[in-house]
Amino acid sequence: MFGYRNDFDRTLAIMDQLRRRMDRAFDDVDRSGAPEPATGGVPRVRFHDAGNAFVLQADLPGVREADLSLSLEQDVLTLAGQRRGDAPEGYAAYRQERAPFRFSRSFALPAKVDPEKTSAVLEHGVLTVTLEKAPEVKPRQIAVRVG
Amino acid sequence: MARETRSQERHPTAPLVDVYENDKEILLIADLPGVSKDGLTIQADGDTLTLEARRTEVPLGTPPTREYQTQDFSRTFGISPSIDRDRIEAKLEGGVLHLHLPKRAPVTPRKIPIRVG
Repeated sequence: MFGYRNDFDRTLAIMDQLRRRMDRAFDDVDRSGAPEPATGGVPRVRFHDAGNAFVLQADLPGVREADLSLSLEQDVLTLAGQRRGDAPEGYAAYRQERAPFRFSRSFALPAKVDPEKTSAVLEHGVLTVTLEKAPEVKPRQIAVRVG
Repeated sequence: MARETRSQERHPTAPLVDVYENDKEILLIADLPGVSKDGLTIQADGDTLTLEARRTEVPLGTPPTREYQTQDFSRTFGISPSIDRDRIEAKLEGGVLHLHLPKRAPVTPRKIPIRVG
């Protein structure tokens, strides 16, 4: 039987197990149609490959610009921030589904991006980060010549 | 009115809300990320209040990975007859809706004088 040879192998096996568990968790989320809360503890994101750029969108209702931080280190993008509590003064609370939260998420980008050409916009509670790809990884049209 | 097929495929999700009350009003706060003023409909009908919101779609390339679909929002609440429907006020900012539902002035019991015949 195959056994773990050393600690390093074991670490890899644990990571693999974790990854499988995460994949299953996302499968559950992807099942469309089932009602689900709009925001959990961490912001949900969408990641697009728009050809010349990668676009990441995160749902951040009620998060102020000043409470957001975005950093790019090599090919890892880290999004961190918090939503402060916004309970009004002098009211009795009947229902509180919207909790204040803190978060930090990192994303390994699938290809090199140009750090000088990244932009982020926070609008209607949605953050859109556009990361332009490095020139060497941008899609290229290849002309077909008739020989 | 003809509806686009795509909107029928998008199942709305219930937005998360907080509900507060003081002696003047009920205050409902809802998370509606991606919703602008034009995409929001608030309707008070009889004893129900319905919020319907469409997300503003940003046209992008094919999403290779996604944790969620951009779902529209819909949720219905029961409201008491003491809420003054004509004075409901809504404010939408940064994907968060503040809905002020003022209470009607309390009905003061009228004293009926009894005359001695």
